[in-house]
Amino acid sequence: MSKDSVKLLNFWPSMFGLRVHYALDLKGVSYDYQEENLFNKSKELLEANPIYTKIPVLIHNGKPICESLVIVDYIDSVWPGSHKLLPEDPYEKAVARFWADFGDRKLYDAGSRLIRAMGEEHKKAGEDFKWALMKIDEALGTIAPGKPFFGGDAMNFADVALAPFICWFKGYQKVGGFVLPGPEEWPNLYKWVDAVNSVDAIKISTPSDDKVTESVERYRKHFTGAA
Amino acid sequence: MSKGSVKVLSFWSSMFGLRVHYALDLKGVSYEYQEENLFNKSKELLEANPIYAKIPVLIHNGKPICESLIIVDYIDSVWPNPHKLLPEDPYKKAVARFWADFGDKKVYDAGSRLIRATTEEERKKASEDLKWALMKIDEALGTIAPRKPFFGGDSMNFADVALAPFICWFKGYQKVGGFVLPGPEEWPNLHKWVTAVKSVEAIRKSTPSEDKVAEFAEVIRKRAIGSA
Repeated sequence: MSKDSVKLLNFWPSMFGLRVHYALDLKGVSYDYQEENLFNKSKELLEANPIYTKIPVLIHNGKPICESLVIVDYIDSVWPGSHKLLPEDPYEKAVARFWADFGDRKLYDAGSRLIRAMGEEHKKAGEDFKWALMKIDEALGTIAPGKPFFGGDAMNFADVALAPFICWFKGYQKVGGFVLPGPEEWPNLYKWVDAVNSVDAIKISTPSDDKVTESVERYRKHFTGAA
Repeated sequence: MSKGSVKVLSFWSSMFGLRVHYALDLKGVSYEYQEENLFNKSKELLEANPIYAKIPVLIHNGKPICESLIIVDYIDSVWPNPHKLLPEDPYKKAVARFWADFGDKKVYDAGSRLIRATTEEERKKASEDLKWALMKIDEALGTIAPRKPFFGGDSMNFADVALAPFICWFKGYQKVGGFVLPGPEEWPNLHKWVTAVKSVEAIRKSTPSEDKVAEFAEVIRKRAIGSA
């Protein structure tokens, strides 16, 4: 649909990269994909993102955009017509941004500690992770009662920001040594997970959670030094 | 000029709170201000921001908005004129958002570590990181808005509003962390930017004195290293 050149530099299990995939795929935008080796980053990545040298990076008509939520915001501005992600109403928009940011501050942070931390800190990371998901379950019930997504009937900016963590749930539980509460405790969250998983555009780039779990276990071993 | 009741819950020295002040003041929006005691947070704050229990919070017609950059974005949407903060062009907007976020990820982070450092090694690393971050801002100003005072060109934009609050903390970073800001020969763009920001009337309204902030930085430091 576009005559632009759109290229995504990413690493397949990254939940930040998945946000970009989801935004582009929901809008039906065609793009090139370049898988990066994070231990041998391409010259293109280093030049596109000299400040952080991180993925994802979107390169649109030769111009790089970095930081996943900035990229999703950009995508929504350039291709607003198909599946608008940010609400028009300023307050609803602020709420969507808040929960997208919550994904970074609380969910990603706790998940990251589940992989790296030891002892008491590791146990706390598990509790923090569960707390974050509980807050998301509550938020879904408050913001969009009786609807599957933060965006109501369709995914919005908050959904796109949080959905990539779903394929990491299995891995986090494995290295965290816990089982997440079920739908009786978190009905909204599970309805949301089912709804996200049923969206065709989401299925295009989401890696299998078994593959992600293998990676998560490998990362954990790197920190615990286990065989 | 404001549409409805506008209230800011904040703490006088918070650079995150200052972002909100700057946005509202640049747009000439009238608002009520409530100073919070961070050791005795008001019931209003805890109810307005139950997730983080942090300032700043903007309460507009009874609805709370939290997280400083989200609040500034909200203010820009509700009161687009005067003084639009986010560029219309998607790429310029993304650049502005990137540098605003850089303020959190790199400037605030290094400054915070500098103040709270308990070893010389930590202090030195934080100081180097802060220096690097400010150097990158100097370079960015030269690239994004060559020969212009602000990221936004002739007037402050979203990135300027996000980064300007750190200016009144430079003295504090120097006092408690021994961080010395390189001069204008080294960082011409940054210094021109600082001068330009300080000359904006709307900015002067809520910016606390650098000496007061430096005193406060010492208080934070003493608490962090467990002194009396």
